[in-house]
Amino acid sequence: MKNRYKFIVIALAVVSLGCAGFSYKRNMPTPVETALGYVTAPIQGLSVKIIDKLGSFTGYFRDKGELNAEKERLKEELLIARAEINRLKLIEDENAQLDALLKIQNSYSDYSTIGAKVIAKDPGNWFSTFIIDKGTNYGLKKNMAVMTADGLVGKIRECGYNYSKVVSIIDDTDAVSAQSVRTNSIGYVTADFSEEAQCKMRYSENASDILAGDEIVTSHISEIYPPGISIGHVKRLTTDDKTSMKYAIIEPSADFSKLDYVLVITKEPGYEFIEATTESGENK
Amino acid sequence: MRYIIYFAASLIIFMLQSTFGRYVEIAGIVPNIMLAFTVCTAYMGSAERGLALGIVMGLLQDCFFGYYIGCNLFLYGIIGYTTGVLSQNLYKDNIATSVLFITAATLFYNLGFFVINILLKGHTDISGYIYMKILPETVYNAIVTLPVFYIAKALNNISETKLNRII
Repeated sequence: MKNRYKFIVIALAVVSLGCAGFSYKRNMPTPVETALGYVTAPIQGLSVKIIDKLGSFTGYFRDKGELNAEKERLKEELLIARAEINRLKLIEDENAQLDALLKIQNSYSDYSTIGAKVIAKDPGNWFSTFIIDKGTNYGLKKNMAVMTADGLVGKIRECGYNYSKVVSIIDDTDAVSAQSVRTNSIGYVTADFSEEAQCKMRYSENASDILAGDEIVTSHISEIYPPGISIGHVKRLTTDDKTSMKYAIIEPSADFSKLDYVLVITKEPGYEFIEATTESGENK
Repeated sequence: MRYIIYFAASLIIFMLQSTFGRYVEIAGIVPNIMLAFTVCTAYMGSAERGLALGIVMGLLQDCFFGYYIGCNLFLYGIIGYTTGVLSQNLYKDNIATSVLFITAATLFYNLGFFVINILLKGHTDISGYIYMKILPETVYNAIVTLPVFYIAKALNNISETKLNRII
């Protein structure tokens, strides 16, 4: 019996290692995964729909006064937003004129986005991976950036036919190239497990002028993420005990505990980069 | 027939876990029903059943959410098989024993996961993980085992009935 136990444990370890070696850094999901995802994604989508229906049913009986107050608040917000849009339009026009004068390629072009629904989340508590209900059938590809209206969420790691696996920026397996809006200092943002659902930003020594409260956005040197998407705000600065490297604890802009709908930026990664270089080549 | 029942059950539990799981989270911690079901079934059934169920559960989780396939396959498989082997000579209908098993299994799973995915990457600081993730999940899993135990028991009874022998 004891030998049998040893044999099974060793066999399991060998099989797992084989699978890991075979599947590590695969570009496409294996046929088995695609088939499984094809079957389960609609069911997962359905169960999320049921939860939503239940939520809206209870919401029907909610306090009327609360809803009225919310209506007033939203009206006010709409007014402010409209004023802001007008102001930004003026700035954009001015910017276009100045750009034309300078004859530079506009690197902050509009992103075209597709909305998608979150249908499943990683069962474990370690990593933060989730599944959305659109895949290659909507033209999504690997490495496309995913965001909410508030800020960056992550990127697509794998695309099936009708589902995509999204790895978020609070996942330990990924890092995002980032910069501070105020000081333009470059660093990268990774997950930080020592505090609840937060990220940390590591940066080079000369960039230590980052302060608490600074906004952190995606940097212009990333080929995956378009520049200027908000990642979060610096909560506080700390120093690593062992390496005595400074890093910033970051409060993400997107609320990862309440992800329902996300936006996928449907621009091929690296596309703008190539275009920009050829344009500048022609200009010379 | 028995295999079909258990495969369907594991698919359903996986989907429940991945869709409804985030609605029952407390302070960012989700209970692991898949692990609880694997341990309960292995405790009531045989070691082989625990091993098979663990492999299916681990494969499902790896296929959908893993960076690579193998980590959960290994951990769930070992947990299922070991629970089956250890509970061979135990009385099979005691909920307290299954809570004890699930506590040990959750600790083992999380420590194994830490070693495979975090420690080997060079992050040695485990104290934050223990307080923020491992201990809360252990407590939460122990509570969740109570309903899961009865589901596993019902499935175990179905798979042992005459219906099973006919088909």
